[in-house]
Amino acid sequence: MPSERLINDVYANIDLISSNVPSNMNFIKREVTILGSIPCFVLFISGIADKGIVEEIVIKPLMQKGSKINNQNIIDDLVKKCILASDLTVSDSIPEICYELLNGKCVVLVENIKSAVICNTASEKYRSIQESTTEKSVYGLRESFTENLNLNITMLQRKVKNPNLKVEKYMIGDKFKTEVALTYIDGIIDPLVLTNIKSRLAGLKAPAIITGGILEQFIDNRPYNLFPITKSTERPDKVVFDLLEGKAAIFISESSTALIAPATFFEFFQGFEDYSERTILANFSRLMRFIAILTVMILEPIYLVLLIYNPELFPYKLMSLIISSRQNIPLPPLLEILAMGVAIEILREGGLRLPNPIGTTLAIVGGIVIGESATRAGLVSYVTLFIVAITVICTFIIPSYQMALTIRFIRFPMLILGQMFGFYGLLVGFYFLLVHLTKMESFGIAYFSPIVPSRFTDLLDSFIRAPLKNILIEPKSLHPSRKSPK
Amino acid sequence: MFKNNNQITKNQYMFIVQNSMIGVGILSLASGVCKDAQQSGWISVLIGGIYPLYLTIAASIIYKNLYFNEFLEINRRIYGKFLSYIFVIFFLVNFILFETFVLSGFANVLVFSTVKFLSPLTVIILTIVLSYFTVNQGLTTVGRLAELMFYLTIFILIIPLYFINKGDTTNILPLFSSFNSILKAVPSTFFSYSGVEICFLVIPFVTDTKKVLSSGIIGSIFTIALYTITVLFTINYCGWRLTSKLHYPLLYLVSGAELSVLSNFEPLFLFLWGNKIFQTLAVGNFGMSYTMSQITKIPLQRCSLYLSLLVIFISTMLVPEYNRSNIIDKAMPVLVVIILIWTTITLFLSFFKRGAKVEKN
Repeated sequence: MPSERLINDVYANIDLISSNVPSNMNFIKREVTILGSIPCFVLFISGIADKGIVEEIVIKPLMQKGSKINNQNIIDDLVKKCILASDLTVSDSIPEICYELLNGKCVVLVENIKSAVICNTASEKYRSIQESTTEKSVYGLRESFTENLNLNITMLQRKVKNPNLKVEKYMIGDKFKTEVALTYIDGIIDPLVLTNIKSRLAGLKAPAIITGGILEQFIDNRPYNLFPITKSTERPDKVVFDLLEGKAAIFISESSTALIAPATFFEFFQGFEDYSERTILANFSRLMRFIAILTVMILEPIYLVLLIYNPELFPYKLMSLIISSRQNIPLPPLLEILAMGVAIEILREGGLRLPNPIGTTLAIVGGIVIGESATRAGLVSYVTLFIVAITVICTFIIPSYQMALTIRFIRFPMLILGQMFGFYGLLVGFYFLLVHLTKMESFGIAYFSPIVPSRFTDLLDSFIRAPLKNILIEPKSLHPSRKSPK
Repeated sequence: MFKNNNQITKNQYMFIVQNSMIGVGILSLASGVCKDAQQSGWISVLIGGIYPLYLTIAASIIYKNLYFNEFLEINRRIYGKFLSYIFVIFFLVNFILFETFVLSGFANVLVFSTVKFLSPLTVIILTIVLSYFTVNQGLTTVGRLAELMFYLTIFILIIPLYFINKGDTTNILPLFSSFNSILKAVPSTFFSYSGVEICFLVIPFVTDTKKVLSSGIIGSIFTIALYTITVLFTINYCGWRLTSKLHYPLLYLVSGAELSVLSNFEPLFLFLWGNKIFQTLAVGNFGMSYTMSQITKIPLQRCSLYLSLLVIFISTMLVPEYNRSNIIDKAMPVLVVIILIWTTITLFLSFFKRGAKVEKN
């Protein structure tokens, strides 16, 4: 079994390290002679480590001061008198050295020395801080997270000037390790919630964690669960707000989104602007959003059920209008609605993949052309088109993309249930959803809180948004250890 | 494997009590009481409310005297091993009957009103699947749902309020007809109030047992008020003669208004009421599964599964409505009398058996 520790032979050490890192052309082993004849090697992976920094703070000082260091205490002198890096460590562990090389650090090895100096020379060449394209805000900050984990945490630390802001790092992944940082404010987050999150992260078994979405799916024990149990965001201001409420934020190295845990159902329908707008306007926006959600889930199924099973429930005038619009339509109502619904989903998906201007054009032109031609050809009635269009427009009002996808999907099973069992099918679907949501928990917090279990003070920031002085407090439903709701 | 969680809060207990009674009875209650008490039927409903109030008060006192042990344990403490099993089996039978009465009634109403094209068996099977799905993780989910469904109850209350000015107050005058006829109509309210017996099973799972008494009383009062108001408005709108001749007077009432996008309130009412029925059935399902689990020591989920199959079988035999009405008319008075006797004796004996503290299971 190969040694896990460095030995005296510097060439053997390099071989050991080389066998544990990708020995590509960018793995640099620069030899420098110190004290006249002692071979010394500087190892780094070009690109991940910044070559300029390595040359400036490691190689240059070694060349200039290498002859002046004390032969008896080489490593100590390298650290204290020679290398200019501010962030360095000494280690003899080969796995640690290999891991740090992959993180962009450089390693200094000396002949006949069983330790290595590891200096932080990681390249900071990442995308610069930009405005989020997926989470636009009128009043919010104009910055979003980048792929640089340290920068993301720095952005957070700049905003939360609180000595209790904690950052804990985890290495997750079987095939390759990914650095994951858990941040929270000690004293605000509930200990039970924190323990729950930590134990999930510590016990996570996954081949690799590349994005927040992948991490979330590995954290959730139910792979077929439709509803997200964490919120993902690119916005630092959102994370700060959630940390202050008593939540934790999980950052993943090389990913520009943070996962906020725990998350409850109603949070996904609260826009960040709600807190910047005046109370009445914010409430109006929320009301619109909840109407939109109900519309997405049940408008099409109700229309279908009334059309095929209970036309007597339409008032007379509305019924005559629908009858006149449906004359000579060959498709059954379900197919009609499904065809239009699927066409719009395809257009939406296509619009996402294409470059921005083309995507928008595709969505607008495609929508108008398909809708117009379908009605003119007599395949779809105007009323059906109107119902489908209203439903699709309502999906755009849901602030969370994760939840919007879920809500949009739910209308399809509801349509099938409506087709099979009529009004009773809708009842079954709705109740099933309620049971599922009340059973769900996110890191020990009831997913349907603060409605169930009822926390009346927290209700002030759920369907409604009370004046800020009443709601900018730590929600009781996020603190199960203070009082034990079930 | 399913994870069982049975703990509920005092509010959830209140909502379970409140919700357990709202079943098919709410639709036909006015008809039953108007046959005897005529325009004073609503007073019979109010008086009938003594039944749930008595049961919830007695249950909280019994459990307080016996240190909130589980149902089988308190029976064992008072009646000994043999009789305790007999009583638990009686409650099991009571909840099986309750479940089948509500389920078959629900199927009958739906097939009678909005889903005429469906067979009652389809409704029965799908509904019992939902009931099983609700119960299979224990009482906590049932409690949470009861809390959620309480908000729907408020809407159920709002719909009859729409008819407050639409009726004729002479329909409810004179307020008192004859005291004898009012009392004679009281037993017909018991079916509407049945289900409240669940309080005897769930009290040990309440986290804050100090408030059990007040929670039970508030839950009962809410349902009594809901029943009284709906019956009063129905009589006010339809008059007692028509009310007593209708199968489901409340459905008739809610179908009497035209809205802009729907021809009447019936689908909206059925939607709200249907959700309440699912919840009531879940409470009943927990009641029967829990009692069976106590006797047989089989896990709650499996008991729920076996009993659900049994309930499907019995419920199909209670369709159509006259089958169900006949059996309810015969079974309900017997069940209510036995429960009242058991409650009174247990309440009395619990004061004598309170001596030594029994360890909570």
